[in-house]
Amino acid sequence: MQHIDCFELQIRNDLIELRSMSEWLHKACEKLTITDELARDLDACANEAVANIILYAYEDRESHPINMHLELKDSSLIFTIQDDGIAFDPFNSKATLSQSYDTIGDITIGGFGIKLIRSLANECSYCRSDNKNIISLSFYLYQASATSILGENSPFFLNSCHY
Amino acid sequence: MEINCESLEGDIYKINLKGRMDIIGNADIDIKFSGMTALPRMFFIVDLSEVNFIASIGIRTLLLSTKAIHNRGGKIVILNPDIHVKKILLMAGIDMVLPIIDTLELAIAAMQKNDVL
Repeated sequence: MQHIDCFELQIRNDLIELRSMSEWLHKACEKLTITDELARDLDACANEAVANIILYAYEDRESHPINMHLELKDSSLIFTIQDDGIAFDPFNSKATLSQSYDTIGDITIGGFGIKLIRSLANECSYCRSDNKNIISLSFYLYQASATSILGENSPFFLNSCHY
Repeated sequence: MEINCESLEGDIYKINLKGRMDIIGNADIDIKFSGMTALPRMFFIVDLSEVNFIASIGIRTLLLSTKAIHNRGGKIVILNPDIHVKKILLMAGIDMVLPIIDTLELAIAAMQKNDVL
């Protein structure tokens, strides 16, 4: 297993925290020399997933921590979110984004967030452990050419070239 | 987020959005956007060229107004979105009901056609 670097962040269950989360993600991606496109895909998924947690996971009005972990492992960027809210598997539904709308009446407004995550991330998983929800999203680095996803100076790209 | 509206020839209204259309930014403009796209106005060009992020809540705002505009026989198009915003909109499939157009000239022309949604 190849492990280059990882980043961690803890935020509170407050929507205002989403902006600092996005800044953290972009800075981490910059350090990992992840392309802007992939960083923005990750940002979009993280916003949907964490907003969902903040809005729906808690039955009280107390402050709760939401922990995030980002790492580049093997050929994937892996983003993990852990919260102590009520058990909920966002990926239980088979829904994906439709491409076949003919009229505005065909669109059901709502539910785009989870569908967006399923469309942007290559792998989505959920588990419940120690009374915590754990969501993991993986983004493959080699969907296109390596240099188009990772910058030329990426430590991952440079290391992987040795194999 | 910032929002403003300008009137063009032909009773077309161009709504310019700027900033991050996430759950926080969307709260800044949601009510104003609904107001700007309300009756008696019928034709709208929504300029997303300065929106650098869109979340599902932003898509929801666009679609709610689109539904209302279509229901009264009006037209609305998206103008020149940022490349990643366009990717999200295409992924959501909303271009099927809310056309994405690259230039203002084409957007104005689309308003005058019968076949635009």
